[in-house]
Amino acid sequence: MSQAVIEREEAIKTVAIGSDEIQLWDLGEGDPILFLHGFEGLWSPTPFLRALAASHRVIAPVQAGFSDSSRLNWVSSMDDVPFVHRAVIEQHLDGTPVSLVGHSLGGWMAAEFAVRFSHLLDSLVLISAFGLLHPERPRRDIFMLDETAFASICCAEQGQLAQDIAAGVYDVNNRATSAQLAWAPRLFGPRLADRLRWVDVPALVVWGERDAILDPLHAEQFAALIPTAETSVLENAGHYAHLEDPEVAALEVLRFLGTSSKEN
Amino acid sequence: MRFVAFHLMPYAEPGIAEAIDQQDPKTAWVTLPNSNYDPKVGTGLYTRYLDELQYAAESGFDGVAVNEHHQNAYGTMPNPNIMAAALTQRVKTAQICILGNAIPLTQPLHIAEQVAMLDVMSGGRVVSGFVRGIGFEYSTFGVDPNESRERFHEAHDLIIRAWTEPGPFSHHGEYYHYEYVNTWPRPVQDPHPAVWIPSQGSSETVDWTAEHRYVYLQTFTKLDRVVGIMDEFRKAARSHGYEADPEQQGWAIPVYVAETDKKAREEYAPHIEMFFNSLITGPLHWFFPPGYLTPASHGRVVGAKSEVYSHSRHTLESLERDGMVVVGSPDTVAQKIKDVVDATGVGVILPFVQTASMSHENSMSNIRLLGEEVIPQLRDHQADPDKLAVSA
Repeated sequence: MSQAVIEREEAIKTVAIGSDEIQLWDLGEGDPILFLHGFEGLWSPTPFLRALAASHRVIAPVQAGFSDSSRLNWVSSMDDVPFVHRAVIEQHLDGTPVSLVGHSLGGWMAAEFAVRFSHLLDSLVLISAFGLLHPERPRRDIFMLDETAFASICCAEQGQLAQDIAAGVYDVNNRATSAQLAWAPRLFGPRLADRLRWVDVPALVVWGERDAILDPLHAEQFAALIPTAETSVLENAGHYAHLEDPEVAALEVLRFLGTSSKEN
Repeated sequence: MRFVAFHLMPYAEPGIAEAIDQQDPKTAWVTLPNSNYDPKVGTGLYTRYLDELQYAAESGFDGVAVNEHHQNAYGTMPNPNIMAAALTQRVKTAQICILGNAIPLTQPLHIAEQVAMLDVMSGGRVVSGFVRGIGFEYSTFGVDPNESRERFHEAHDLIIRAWTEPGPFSHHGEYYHYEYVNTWPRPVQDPHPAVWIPSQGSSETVDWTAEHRYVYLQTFTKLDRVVGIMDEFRKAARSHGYEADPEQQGWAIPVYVAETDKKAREEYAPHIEMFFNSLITGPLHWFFPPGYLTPASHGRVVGAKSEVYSHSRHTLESLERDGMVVVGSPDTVAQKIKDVVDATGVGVILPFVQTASMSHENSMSNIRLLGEEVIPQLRDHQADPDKLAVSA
């Protein structure tokens, strides 16, 4: 399913970070949302992002090393990643505080950003986020699964969507970049649990009730550690709630954004 | 010609093949539960395997070799230096070859120290092999496979410096930080222990090995590819300003010798088939984890290796056809090895002298026949440089 060329009929922008560049989708108008995708990459705006863009300005970077984009040579671990997003906010949005929405690996990135740079945030949304190690429910080790096995568990229902997602996750470059960030310690950040107390913006933790990769108990774990967090469980959704049921997921995020901001 | 007896020291006891088959996914590596390992049996195995290598050294082999693999039934030497240390006390004059330490997986200063110790303990008989570590090891040790090559190079450079540069000196690299490098003991060999590089044949490794004037070893590769790689190695050496010596080029291959071809095949078939159909099996994406191969290589290598390491059944016949094993009477085996030497130009032969479930009795007989009847036929054999096959 790899698309060698990202569609350019929509507003794809380039942000310079030092001598490097990253590309990002810039859709809609309104208060800014910064969306961080996960292992499958981001080839074009999804229905979920378009739904958010009806009432917000949605910035969705093609994260470095995913979807045929180049890696940044100074980024070699999750510890480096928040600085990329800081550059996006400071340079592309002039430092305007954003609502940071991250899914899966991108959710982990969003959490790591929030504990470091919450002054750049208006609110935080974590959707089926990696980053924590649950004492009772180990996450599925997606590095040990093959593409077929992954496709059979990534969504609540099997079918074309699950296969397309798996093709993105198992794209050779996406997979290698994922390993760079999440191979070891595997799929979690040992320091994150102790640091989540520093998130001081409103936070929403969204999980699919049928997430077979990261048990919904992880949502409670995040919520217990983030002082400002509320949780929302979406019925009939798996690990990819925002792709499986984009309208429902977008509605839930918009509800939260509408009722919360640093000023409230 | 040099001959090195290579041992993999497997745990191939009855029931293991079934245990491997029952894993989902099927694998002898990483997640095959260690409850399948009986330590009491293991004590006997280590003693037996050391006896076999000692016997090889006494029977005419120039060296003995061990290697490193983790958390699996294929090979029970997670630390090859421990086995090499035992060998320094059992093997009195032959070379002791570690093929090799997987240097990206650990602290390179440890390796520099341990190999220096082994060199001093053996009076300067150590061969220090360095490898990246196969993909499975990256699931055992949480090292990012993307970093494998760069770690290998930084670790190698640090180890060679530790052996050759007066200490203390400091090293602050991308991956390793040492304020004081000052190894005691220092190795016996001058300038440092011989370095051999076992490889699967990437062009970068071939060229790098030639550039450093190390010995290049090819393992578990079809014969036609070995021909091309050795040709590439010699060309690389020329590009670096010298003619490669045949003893810089080695070939590691499972070998079994018995009195007759028929007896050899009958005795060998179950064990070599267990080796390829059980002990070496694991999911391809564990063998080649993300980032381990360059994107350009990934498709090509995984395609080529999927045949060797897949779960389709290998037979002795298919393995012989592909040049992945050598089996027969002493004369047959000697002739086959001569043919390989003539085609590839290798000057170092490393038979795997024991395979999988092969008994101690058959292993010792194999070693005896190799040492007494095969090696003498090959000692003075040399490829004709003008007749070496050149790759297209």
